[in-house]
Amino acid sequence: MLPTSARPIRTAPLAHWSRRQRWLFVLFSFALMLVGIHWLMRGGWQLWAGLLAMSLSVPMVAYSCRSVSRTETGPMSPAERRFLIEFSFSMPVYFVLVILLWGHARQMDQGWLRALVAVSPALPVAWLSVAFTRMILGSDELMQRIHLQALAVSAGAVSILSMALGFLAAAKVLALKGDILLWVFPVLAWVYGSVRWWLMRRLGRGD
Amino acid sequence: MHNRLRELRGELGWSQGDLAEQLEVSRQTVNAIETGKYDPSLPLAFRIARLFQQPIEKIFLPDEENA
Repeated sequence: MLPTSARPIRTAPLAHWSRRQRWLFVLFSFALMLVGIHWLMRGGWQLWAGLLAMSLSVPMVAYSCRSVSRTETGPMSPAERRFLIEFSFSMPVYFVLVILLWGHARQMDQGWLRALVAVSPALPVAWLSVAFTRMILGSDELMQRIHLQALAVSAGAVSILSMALGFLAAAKVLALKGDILLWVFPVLAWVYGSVRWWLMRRLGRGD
Repeated sequence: MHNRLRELRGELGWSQGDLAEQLEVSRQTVNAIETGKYDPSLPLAFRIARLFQQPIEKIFLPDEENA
């Protein structure tokens, strides 16, 4: 008998759903995300509805996509479950900080308060990075290897791209603003996710 | 490296998920070991041997070229 903490947790009510129902849930999650983006752009009362929709839809997309994945079969490990919970809480904090607080930084007087407001959305991302590291450390040896390979490829690709763009900007071939740095994390996450998906796919589905 | 993991698991009527739970690894890891796409670390190989109550060399067999 395994200790409770080591036992995989069969989280998913979705695991009992048919494949068609799970795909419908995926579509609903993406639709909610699109509606959330639309509301966020309109402002007014819809800003709050958009924040709520985005806060719900981002973890829903992550969770529902896992349920239809042909590679991520099997129950979530405690480490994955904890990461999903932390992801679900850090993303709403990020949206709230970006949409409600960060925009005020431009109107504020120069000083440490302005710097603090401007950098505030990075705090939930830092929380997410810690949670992600914790998830990797809680994974088994093969999963750690796959995470490491995916991270190595993504870090290499983003570093080379950043360096190339930096040299182009320094040589005045391209005119780049500092806010392009905001793309580093999303691109890193996207390349990491794609490489990890490909590596998992190579392992096959099993029975 | 070859292994008899699938055969031994089949004898006990366990699914890959059942074995993964016993070994405290993911189901994908069990599948990768069974299909020869991943060779486990020594600690995991010993855990597998202990679980099936067999010597490690009776579960994991070298390739012919390395034998």
